Amino acid sequence: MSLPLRRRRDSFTLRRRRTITLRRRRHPVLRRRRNPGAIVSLFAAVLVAATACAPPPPDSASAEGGAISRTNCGIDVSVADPPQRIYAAYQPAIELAHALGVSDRIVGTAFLDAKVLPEYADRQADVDYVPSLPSREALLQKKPDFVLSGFNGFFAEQSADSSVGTRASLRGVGVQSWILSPLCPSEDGLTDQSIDPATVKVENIYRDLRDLGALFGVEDKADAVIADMRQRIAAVEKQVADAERPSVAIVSPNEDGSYSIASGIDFGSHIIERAGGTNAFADLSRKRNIDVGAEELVKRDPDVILTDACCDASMTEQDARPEVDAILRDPALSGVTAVQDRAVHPFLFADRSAGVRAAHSIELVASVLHPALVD
Amino acid sequence: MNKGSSATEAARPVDSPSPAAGDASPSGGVPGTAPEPQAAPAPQATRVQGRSSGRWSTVAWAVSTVALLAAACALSLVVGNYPVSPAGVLSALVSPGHGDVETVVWHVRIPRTVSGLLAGSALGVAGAVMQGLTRNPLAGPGILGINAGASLAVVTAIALGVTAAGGHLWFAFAGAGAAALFVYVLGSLGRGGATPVKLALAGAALTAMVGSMTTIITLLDAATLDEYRFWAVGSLTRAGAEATAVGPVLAIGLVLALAVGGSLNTIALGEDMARSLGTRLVAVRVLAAVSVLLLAGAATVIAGPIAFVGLAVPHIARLLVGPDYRWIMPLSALLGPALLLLADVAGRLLVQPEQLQVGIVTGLAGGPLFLYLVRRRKVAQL
Amino acid sequence: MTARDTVVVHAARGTVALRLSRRSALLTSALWLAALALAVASLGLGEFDLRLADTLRVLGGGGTLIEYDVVVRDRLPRTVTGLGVGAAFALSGAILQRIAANPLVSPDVIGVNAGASFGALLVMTVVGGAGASLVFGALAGAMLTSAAIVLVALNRGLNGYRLVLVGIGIAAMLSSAISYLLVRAEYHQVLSAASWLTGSLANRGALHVTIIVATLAAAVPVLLVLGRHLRVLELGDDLARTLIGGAHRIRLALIITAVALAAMATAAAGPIGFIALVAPQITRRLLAGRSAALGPAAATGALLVTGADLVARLLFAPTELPVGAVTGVLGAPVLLYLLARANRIGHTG
Repeated sequence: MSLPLRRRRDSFTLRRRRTITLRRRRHPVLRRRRNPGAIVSLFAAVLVAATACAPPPPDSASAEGGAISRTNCGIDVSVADPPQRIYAAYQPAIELAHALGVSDRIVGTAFLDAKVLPEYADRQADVDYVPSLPSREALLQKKPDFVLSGFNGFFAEQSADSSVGTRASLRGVGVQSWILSPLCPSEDGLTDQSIDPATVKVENIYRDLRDLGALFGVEDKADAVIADMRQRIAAVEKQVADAERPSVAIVSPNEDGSYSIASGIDFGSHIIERAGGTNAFADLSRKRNIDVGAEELVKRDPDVILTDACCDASMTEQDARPEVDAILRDPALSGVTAVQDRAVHPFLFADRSAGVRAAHSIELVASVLHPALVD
Repeated sequence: MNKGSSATEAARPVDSPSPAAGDASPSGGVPGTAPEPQAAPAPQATRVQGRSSGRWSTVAWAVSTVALLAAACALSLVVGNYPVSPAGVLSALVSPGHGDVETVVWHVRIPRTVSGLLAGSALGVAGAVMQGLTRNPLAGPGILGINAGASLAVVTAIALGVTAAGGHLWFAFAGAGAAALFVYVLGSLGRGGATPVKLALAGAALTAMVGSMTTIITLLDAATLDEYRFWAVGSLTRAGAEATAVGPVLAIGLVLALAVGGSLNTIALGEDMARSLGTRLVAVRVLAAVSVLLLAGAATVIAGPIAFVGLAVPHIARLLVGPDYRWIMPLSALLGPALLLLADVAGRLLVQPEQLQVGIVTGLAGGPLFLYLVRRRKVAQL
Repeated sequence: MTARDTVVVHAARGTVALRLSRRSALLTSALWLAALALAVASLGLGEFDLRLADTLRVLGGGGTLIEYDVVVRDRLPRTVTGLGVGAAFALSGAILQRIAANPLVSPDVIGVNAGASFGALLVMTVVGGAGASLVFGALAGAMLTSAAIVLVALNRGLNGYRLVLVGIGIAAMLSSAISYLLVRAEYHQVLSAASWLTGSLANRGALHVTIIVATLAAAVPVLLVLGRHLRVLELGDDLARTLIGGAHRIRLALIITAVALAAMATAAAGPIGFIALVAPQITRRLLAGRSAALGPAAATGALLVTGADLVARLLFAPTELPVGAVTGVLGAPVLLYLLARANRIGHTG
């Protein structure tokens, strides 16, 4: 097999399939393949796999009026009818689906970093949840027609694990997909980020909400969510506008005695800014999370420390208490202003992801930075 | 002889005349359990005697090593992200206070330095004992499955949600102990008791199995993996004040190790020779194994799994003072911490404001040293 | 040792060899049949519900688009890759064990896997690549490492023992570098990286099948020609040199083949542990014989990986484990058992 040949073929089918709409086809599970192909035995199948792995030709459906399409990470996503079987992976995607009020259309969820916000708790309790990401066939078993992911690695190309295949390959079996736009890769299948994290603002979340609202047929709900977030964040900003801006560090003690901190390009930095503070590590911008020693924390001397507890589907801010205590008890940090003022507050890894949680997080941070100003 | 009849073929005494059998020996998935070369007892014996005339050079090396260790300690106290002048360090040392400088010196740099001293000497001596006991130049303290056992125990603790400060320390020790006991029992089955080669094989097999279990737990639970990846690199910033708690354990291990030093010299002559010289092999093996467990276990508790120090330090000591274990042991106890602390200082400077864990530095810097040793033909014949 | 080994040497031309090879051929066919049976089973089993009849229908060209995707796009390449990778690892282990005359040598020990892992992890966590770039990263890592190992070890002629020592040193250095990348990686990347580092058949495709099939296609003829010399080579340097001409070159060619097999297999499926170590040991016991024959070893490797992958997919369903996690847990007790049994009957010194 020659690789370039396969490449060309893929992009060919990709261009054709991009225009597929859902209405004109029966559900993919029910639909028969058109061209049975020439595979008659396992041996031949092996040969085919070894040479071309030719997918069956797609149905020749084409886009017509009525289809709604939006561009996500450079890929056209079109649906004729609002998707009815949504699969959501990762915290921000799951919460966003609940926020848009499509909980009853969710066929499965996976990989929460923390408990969903209280307003979605009942709805999340009713949907199927697995802590680990599904394999491709486990995903397909759920018969989804739309997959929403909070992390680009879910659609990584072959040979990556914890991936269900590229978005093009999912479209090949009639499944549309969406990556929350702050995490767009530079190309389908990669796990890099084409958008500079430093430019990620709450406005990016609004755009995802608007686009998904249109695709899911819930524009009004999306507008309401956006308006609510805008109003809540604006209220906080107004309250803290004239206050002094304390320096804040988002700190997670690592097992080896070092500390993982959120750098200037992390969304947490944006949350701190909006809540009336400044990130004590704002000048670092090589990656989102940076490991430093105790001395660096002593040197930067933040006024407030937020923890960064993670990764369990039942975790709430209360579960970050042990991290708070560990930081307060650490003799190496005893001279840090935040520790002396006992201004170390529970905060979650999930709280600093770019999603509908942003309003909650900004309120939370503002209430600990400016308790007198924010209610 | 039934060539290659089983994995345990390797366990044949090394002084077998066959060239093939000389090469056949253990080597598992861990560094340090590698093929035993053909032993060359005779030249080694003469070198022991030949060296004794160089007593003064040995003493000179010992004094220089003490000086090196002192310098490493000083650097470890002075170098760091928080700028403190040497004078500032001194004044903080003599008059503890509550300022930032005092906090940094007393609560960051001194615990770090003490961790390095304890872990380094334990690793150095444990490596020397293992190499002497197994007559294998590639034996390290990890050979009894200690790191693997400790890792599994720590992962279990993390997965069960044990977060108390210092809580992982004792899990690590229990895991190390259980692994060592298992390896020792398995290695003692059958004729001849716990021979070094059987121990090494059992250690390699246990390491592989326990390592897979560790992997499964981490893959099923992302939060555990997130914590465990930091445990898996050795670091001197982990233990803090708790490090001193394992001090007594470590001291007992050191005493035991020094006590068997003389016997290791006769073991180096070959087991038959050692027996005929009146060495009680079983007693020496048990004492040596216990000292390795205590030392390597303590080091793992303090710093986590640290690559290469236990392997390389005895070799350097041997280069300096010759093959007499009564000298190699104390010199390893000095060189180990000196190198570990220097590696830690380098880790603080290389990627500021971040820091490299000491285990990463020792692995990267120790590799080339190890390759150099391997390319020298003599080492292969130690 | 001399008496027995002489028999072995003569056996190469005698009736013993014939009987041995007939038995070995039978065993090889039986093992391959078992492996293929497991392979067919693994095409039909999994999280996506398919009855055997449906599976066969899909293979025969029927079924829905999604069924085709699950069976032909997902399970088939993974199964074929598993068979090939198992065979390749086992061959690599069998060759290296015999050349080094050491039953515990395997490509993991000599650093090939660590090189591949480092290359793959670099692509995964620093570049953000996946798919082909990941495979080529692993391949480049394995190739560079193997070349470095062979070059460093090529000191006064290549000998198995020095090769192993150098490999251990390089592997340990690389594993430090791997820990570094893992500690530096972003949280969501770590899980995928850890899974790759364990060795996994999830999400494989034509590229992986091509790599492993082509590698085996190139290596098998070489082994058919040179494999018979292993029996002599494992007697050690001096003896081998007196028995066959060009022993040094033959050994180098065999080592390169073994390393390439392991490198390619790792690029295709990650460093699946223990197969290279255990498969030759198992075949040697099944043959009740002297040296690990290559044919049966390859079949055993294929069988083990296919079986382990089936377990890995079904055990914690719907969560899938990487196959490497299972081979270690299944393989190590086999080794421990062999050790304990050998120790108990006083086989060792």
